[in-house]
Amino acid sequence: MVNYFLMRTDFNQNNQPRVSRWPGRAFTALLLLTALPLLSQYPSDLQYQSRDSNRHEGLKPKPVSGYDVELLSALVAWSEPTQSWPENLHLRFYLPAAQSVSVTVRQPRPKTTYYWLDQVVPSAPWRAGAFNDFTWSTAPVLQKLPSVTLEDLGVVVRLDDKGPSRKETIAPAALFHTQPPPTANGYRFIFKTNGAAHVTCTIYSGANEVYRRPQNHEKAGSPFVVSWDPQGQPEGMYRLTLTGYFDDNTPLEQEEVFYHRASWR
Amino acid sequence: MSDVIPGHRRSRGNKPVRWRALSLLALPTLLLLALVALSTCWRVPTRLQLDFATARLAFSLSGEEPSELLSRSAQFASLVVEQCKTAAFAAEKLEIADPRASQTESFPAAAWHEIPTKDLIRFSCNDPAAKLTLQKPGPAAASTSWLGNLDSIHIQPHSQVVLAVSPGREPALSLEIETPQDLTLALGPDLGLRTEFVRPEGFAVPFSGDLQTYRAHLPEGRRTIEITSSEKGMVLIMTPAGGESAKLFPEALPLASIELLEEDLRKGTLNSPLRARATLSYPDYPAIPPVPIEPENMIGLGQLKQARLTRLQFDTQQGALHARFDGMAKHATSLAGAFPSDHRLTLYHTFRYSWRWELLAMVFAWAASTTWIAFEAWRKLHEHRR
Repeated sequence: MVNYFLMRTDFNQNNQPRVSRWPGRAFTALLLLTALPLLSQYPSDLQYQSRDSNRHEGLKPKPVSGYDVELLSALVAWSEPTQSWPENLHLRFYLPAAQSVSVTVRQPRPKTTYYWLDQVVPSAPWRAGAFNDFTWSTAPVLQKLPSVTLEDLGVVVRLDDKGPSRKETIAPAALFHTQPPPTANGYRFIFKTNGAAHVTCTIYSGANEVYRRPQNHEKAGSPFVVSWDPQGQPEGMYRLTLTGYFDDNTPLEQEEVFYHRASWR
Repeated sequence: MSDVIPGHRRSRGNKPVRWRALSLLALPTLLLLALVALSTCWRVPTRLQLDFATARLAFSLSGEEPSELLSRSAQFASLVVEQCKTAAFAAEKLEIADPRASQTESFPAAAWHEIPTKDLIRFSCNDPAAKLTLQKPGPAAASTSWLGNLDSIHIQPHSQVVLAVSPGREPALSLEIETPQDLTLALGPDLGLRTEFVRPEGFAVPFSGDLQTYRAHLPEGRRTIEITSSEKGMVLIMTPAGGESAKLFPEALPLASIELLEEDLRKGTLNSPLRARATLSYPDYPAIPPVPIEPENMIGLGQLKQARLTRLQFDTQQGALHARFDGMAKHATSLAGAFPSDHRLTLYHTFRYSWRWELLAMVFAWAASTTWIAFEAWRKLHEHRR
């Protein structure tokens, strides 16, 4: 508050008093306050905001992406049935090398609420060549969403993140509340196109094709799942590619590079 | 008149009386001016009509009884079902395609393998990623020829519904429904079925993979498929048959809430899903000109009363939902950039444009003027007599 008033009586380099900005700021604040009933469809405590200084979490209206195809989730297949929200949720991923990490937790199929968690700040720096965990409390938001369950959440951990792009490096994650999966018995990648498209999915190890999902006609906005069982495959880097074309014959291409780590404990 | 000496202060003789008289004369005018000024700021709950075209529309229904969301016998060319629980249909013949036999979605004749089945084919969709696609068998998957009729879909009061346009060569309509459903869909004789993460019950499939393609010939007299949704409702993505603007929805849907907002995920800003200029009008005050709202402006309507959604239509040409909102709204705002506009009428508008008040004012003016003329005439006649 003190700094605020100091700023108002400050002088610029030409020793001229600075023009006070408070009327403009007050006007803007007034506009925002007036607009608030329009924008706030959710209670204020559930809205997307910074929480506990280690993440941004909350509800957003349904997003519209300008990208042709979008990765919504990359998870290790693991299920811990629960009737209600546990106190805390844990997220684990393997970081193969020293890379920047960007975590997003979201609902691949939003209804009228849109849960969103990102800008995660770990308690200690992410460790390369090791499993990394992030834990957050479900009390502020998730426990107040009776229509959302653990199964409704998707996670994307992007490495060297420059925003969604045609070629991304990701780290498949596990979402759990008691025990992490002992092994990566399967992966589930969830994608969404923003126009009806014919999509084929292939996973490569080097130049070798290890999995192919036949071409399918995907409806716009309807998430589709690519499920891969890596049993018998060696640890290492894999490449998941989506190829195809939209209904207007625009080509569709997307590549996700990830490290397959067999043992998760 | 007063006997004031020139150059001196006026005596206080008759002045207060005159000023008091003038003040009393001016008081009603001043009061009226203050009231008029106040009435121009005083917003009142207003009945609105909003005609709009949108790519997305979320709402909940009001009332005590379940309402039908779709008109009966809405015809579809293809239907995607998400969050189903079970699906069952009778088939004379069921075949499955070898997924390795084709690089595309259509399969050569040699790829089809008949599955010996009992009378009733059952699938269970317990996987959260389960998805069923009902379409014409063969390469005509994207055509808009008739495949079947939707069952009536009942929505519980205050249960959320999200309608969204799914763009494509043949735009589809996505219906996200919270109310659990048991649907019986009438079908033609031939059915193509794509299943994702769906488990067949009572028969084995010879091919591995999460994505399978079936085709079936349905027996005459039992050409239906029964689909039950999960407890959390379901998602239907329907491509209307004929590819033309279909009258899918009933005449009016009673509304408890409505939302016309989308957010651009990359920018973190709220967007408007409007596809064309919307028009806001005031049916109780037809003299007030309608207010145009540009498609990039956001609209918020809150605390609804006696609200209905009428003229709801899916326009496959424009890829938009056309609708009219009609009802009372305690909040009716649009946002152009950072500038909000309150579209509720003021008290002044309700007086200025109300025919009742107009009539009352005319009667009052007529009565006052004729009374005054009559009084003047009577006074002059009285003086003349004296």
